[in-house]
Parts: sequence; structure tokens; C-alpha cells
Amino acid sequence: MSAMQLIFLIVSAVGLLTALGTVLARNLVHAALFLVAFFFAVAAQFVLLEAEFLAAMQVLVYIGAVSILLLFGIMLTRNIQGDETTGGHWAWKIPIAVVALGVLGVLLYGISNERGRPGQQSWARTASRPGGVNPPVGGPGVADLSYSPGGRHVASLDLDGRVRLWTPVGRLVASLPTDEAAGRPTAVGFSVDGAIVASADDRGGVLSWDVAGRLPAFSRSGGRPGRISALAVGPERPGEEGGRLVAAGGADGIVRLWGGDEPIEVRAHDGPIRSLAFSPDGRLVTLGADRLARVLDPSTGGVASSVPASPPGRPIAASAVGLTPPPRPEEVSGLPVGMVGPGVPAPPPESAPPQPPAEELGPDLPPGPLAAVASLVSGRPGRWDLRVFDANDGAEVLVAEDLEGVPIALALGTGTGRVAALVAPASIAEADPGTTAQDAPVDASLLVWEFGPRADDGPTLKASPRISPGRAVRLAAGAEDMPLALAPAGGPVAFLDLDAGAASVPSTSASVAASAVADMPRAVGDELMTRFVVPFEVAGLLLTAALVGAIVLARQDVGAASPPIGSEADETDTPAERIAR
Amino acid sequence: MSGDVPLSWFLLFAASCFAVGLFGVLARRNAIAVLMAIEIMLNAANINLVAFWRFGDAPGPEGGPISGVMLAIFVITVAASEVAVGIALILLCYRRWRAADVDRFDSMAG
Repeated sequence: MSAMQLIFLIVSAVGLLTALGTVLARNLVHAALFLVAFFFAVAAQFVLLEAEFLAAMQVLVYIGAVSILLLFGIMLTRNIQGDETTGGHWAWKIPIAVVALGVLGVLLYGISNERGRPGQQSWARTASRPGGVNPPVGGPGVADLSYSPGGRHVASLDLDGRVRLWTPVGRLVASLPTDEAAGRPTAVGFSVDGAIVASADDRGGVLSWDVAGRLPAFSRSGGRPGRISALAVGPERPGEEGGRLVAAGGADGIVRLWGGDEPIEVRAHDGPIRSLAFSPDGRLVTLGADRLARVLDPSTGGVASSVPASPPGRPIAASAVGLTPPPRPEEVSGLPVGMVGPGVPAPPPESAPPQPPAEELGPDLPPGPLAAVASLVSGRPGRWDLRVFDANDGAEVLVAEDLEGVPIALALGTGTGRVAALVAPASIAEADPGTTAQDAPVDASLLVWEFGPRADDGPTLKASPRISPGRAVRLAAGAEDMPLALAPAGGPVAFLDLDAGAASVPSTSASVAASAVADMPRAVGDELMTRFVVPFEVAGLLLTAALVGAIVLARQDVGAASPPIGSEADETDTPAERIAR
Repeated sequence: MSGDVPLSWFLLFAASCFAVGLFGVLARRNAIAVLMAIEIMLNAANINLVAFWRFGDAPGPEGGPISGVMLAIFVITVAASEVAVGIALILLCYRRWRAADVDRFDSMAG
């Protein structure tokens, strides 16, 4: 039983007992005070339901106005003896109790035997709440997702045009507005050193911000319009004009490359560009749907090397390009850095030197940028291969063949040996892709391979329980031990920590949204709830007890000094009432 | 997280409160006590409204996001005015018949 369930049960018990007290108390003032406590319990229920405004309204209107009005009514009718003055026989209440219990039985039966519409879950058993009751923070949806190379931030490019920066534990740290005149945002990417985050739109423009200062850094424009599928910002180039290199790869196979204000265009691939990244030495690695991984020299736009990314006849289902070596010298010394979380000190700023010496990388990782490709096995639906290789020379780092399922997203941990794949069951390979919507939930599971220097015994594989994002899903991975960022179609960013076990991994798409720590208003609601429900309830009960005590004491004084209230003796009749009588 | 209290728990609590309020409305003879029991029933209905709103389908991007809360606010408003009018009526009846007992407000009986 969770803390929330416990709080609910306590609040409910208080509510039910005070409701019974209201109904059963002989003294009307006591009944009114029980009613105040009941109103408090209902307000606490509203807070549990994340309707904080309504809880405030409840306190103001019911406790502030209605109860006071009732108390005035009780005092003015001078009949605080309640039913005693007009009492009836107790047996008279038995049929009433039967009626009330009958109604209760009907309600309970209906609630506990609800079945739900065909094909739908029973609503009475729903435990997950959809996100987005408060305005969704992920915006109307996430267009792209990127992990910073140092692992400090996750950037989500939302369809409302904002770039949002999160810590890997899901705290929103910045919301960066884009230009009003910009087109539809399509891709987001960090610079190699993690200092700059940039977004590209479909009108050929690029905006960027300084991650540390959250200020606009530079903008580029004039690129060829088109859907940008990948974006990367190069390392700092001291002494050269034009600042950092920016590369945007489009679905048209063309890389827009800005060394200054004017872009040059490089036709890098014959199909859409899938992934793209700068290496710390300034070269650009691209991976295209034509099953080639290319290394470009940005100064000339020429192709330095070209290696096949997947064997012939095996279309690429998902791909990722990541950087090794990491721009993180701390990791080489064996310290677990990069974790931001409770009890873990914040990592140092990401101004690390761009390239540690190759011999510190461990024997398993090549010095060049890595590319990961999930390719479908042709002729055998529901089978796929995973290859991770050095983009320079094609040397394979990790090969996993003949895996089951359909890969729908792939992410390569920037800096370390980690590759994550979101795999749908093989059954969706047979389904007609035209009939299934892109945002329909797919029952997928997450597979993570670790093959870096820290994985001593060769590649290790971790698998998550099933999650259900849509097919249009973005995935981003950081170093080992860090949560994976996942953005289902139209939903907010969720952060999944595989090591924390199944509890943190949502089981349905609704609960992906609901459990996204990323949802800030919800997080604020949780905070309010956990912090204020208990004090609220305790304060209400103390207040009620004090009121009851005060009234009882006052009545004892009055009772000793004067005849009982409500007796006919101290009534003063007006002449009109005498006539009426 | 907040999402682990099932919807049915809220519904069961609301149903129990409603039954208690119903008992009060029928069993109490003092008019003000009857009003209080009515308030309990209205609050139970409010809990249902808010619970279904919170657990229901996610609203669309442009859809009204707080429909259940709006409905509950209406109920609160109506309940408040109902209490004001009810208390006024009870006071008038009390001045007329020197009693706040619903069983004695029978002058319209045949």
C-alpha cells in the first residue's frame, strides 16, 4: 500500500465518521461541527484528486459560508437540543436505515461490478490518470529528443516550438522560446561539448541557446526548406570565423552545413538522413536510409570515408550516431559522474576538454564516433539485427543478430557504450502499416546493451517490462546508470530508470503520461498533496475539536446559570405571532 | 505518485457518504439537520464529478480541461444559495409555528 492510498484511507475514514456524526448527533451544534469536519475531509479528497482550486472553493464556500449560516440557523431557532424536543421512537428509524442501506447496496454493487464497454477497460478499476489535466508540459507533443553528451541535460523540442531542458531525473530546468516567425520545429541537438543546444525548423533556420546561461547563442538561416531529421552542432573553433559548425540533415538526403552565415549543401545520401553527429575533432558523421555511414569533412564538404551500415537488402528500421570518446575525463578515472539525483552531487559543468587520449578509453571502444543500426531482416518479418560499429572504418563493436520483434526506435548513449532499442512485438510486422495509426499504442519493450569499458564481461543486455508508446516515439540515452528519456507520440517526456525495477516503468500509454515526472504542474500538484494534505487535515480536526470543546464548556456555563434553552418559558412572542396562534 | 488510488475507491467513498446523507434526510426531523444531510449528499455527488473528471479521458489540446471542476463549482454555488434560502424559510416557519420540525410543517396537508 502506498502512502497515497494510506492518506486516502485516513481521509475517507475521517469523512465517513464525521458524516455519520452529522447525521446521528442529537445536539445540532455538534452535528454542525461534525459537518465542518466532513467538509474538510471532502476538501482533502479534492486535493487527492488534484483539484486544488476546488478544494480552496470548498473551504471558502462550505466551511466559510454554509456552515456559519447553518450555525446561525441553529442558534436562531434556539433548538440546539436537536431532535430531542420533537423526538420520535427509535423504531421509526429502522425502515429509514433499511432504505439507506438498500441504496448503498445498489451503488456498491454497481461500482464493484462495472464491466466497461467492449474492448475497453472497466472505468471503476482505472488507477491511472491521464496526463494533461493541467496543460501538458510536453506541449502538444514532442518533435525530437536529445541527450547532452555530458549527460547533464535532456532537451525536448516540443511542437509548441519551445526547447525544454530537463535533468535526467525529470526536472524541468529551462523552457527556451523560439522565434515566432520560425517554421515547424523538427529537430534538436546538442553541441559536442554540451554547451549549446540548437533547434532546426522546416524553413531552413536554426536557433541555438547557451545551455548554461539559457540565452540565445546564435542563429542560422537560409538553409534549404524541408523536413530536418537530424541536427548537430560542432565543437568550438577558436580563431576561425563564423563560430561553430552547424549541420542539419534532411529527409531529402542533403546536409545543410553552416560554417558561417551562408550554408553550403552537401548531398550526402540518396535517401533520407537518419542520424547525424559531429565528432569532437570536427568531422561529421551521417547515416542515411541508403544504408551507408559517411564521414564528411566539413571544411570541404567532401566525403572522407563511407562504410556500409547494414548488409545489402536489409532496410534500416532505426539508427543512432553517438560519440566516443566521451567529452568527460571524469569517467576515465572511474568516478560515477553525470548522475543528477538525490544524494548524488551535481556533475561539473560540461566544459570538459573535447578529446581525452585514446589509451584511456579502454580496449573495447574505438576512438571514432560510433553508429548503431537496427536493420530488418528482409523476407522474415519480425526479425532484426543490431550492429554498432565505428563510423570511420566500419569495425564492429557489437553485433546482435536475429532478434525478435520490430525495432521502432534506437538510441546510442552519448559518450559511453550503451545502446537502447525500443522493440515492438513481431506481430505488428504483419499488420498493415496503413491501418495502424502512428500514435496508436504499441506494446513495446526496451532492450539495452552495455558494451563500454565498464561492461567487463562483454556486452550485457537489460530488458524492461513492456511499455506502450505509439510508433512515433523518440528515444534518447545517456551513460550507464542514467535514465532513458522516452517521448511517446503526443505525450510528455518520460524518464525510465531500468535499474529501479519495474515500478518506475509505466505499463500503459496513459500511465506513461501519468507517471512522467516531467509533467510539471502535476509535479507541483503532487508536492502540494504530499506536503499539505496531512497538515490540512490535522489542522481541520484540531479546529473542530477546539470548537466542540468551546461550545460544550459554554453550554455548561449557560446551563448552570439559566433555564434550558428551547423551553417555552423564555420565548418572547410578538403580537403578530400571538394572533397567528 | 498520485496515480495509484483507483477510481473505485473514490466512488465507494462517495456512495457511502451519499447513503449516510440519505439516512439523515429521512431520519432527522429538525429541518436544519435535514439541510445538513442534504449538504452531505451534494458533497458526495461532487466527489464523483471530480473523480470521473480526473480519471476520465485526457482532454484534447483545445478541449475544456476542467469540465468536471466547473460542474462541481456549479454544485457548490447552488448548494450555498439553497442553504441561504432554506435557512430563511426555516426561520420564517420557526417564527410562525415555534418549531423547526419538518413533521409539523403540515399546514399545506389536506
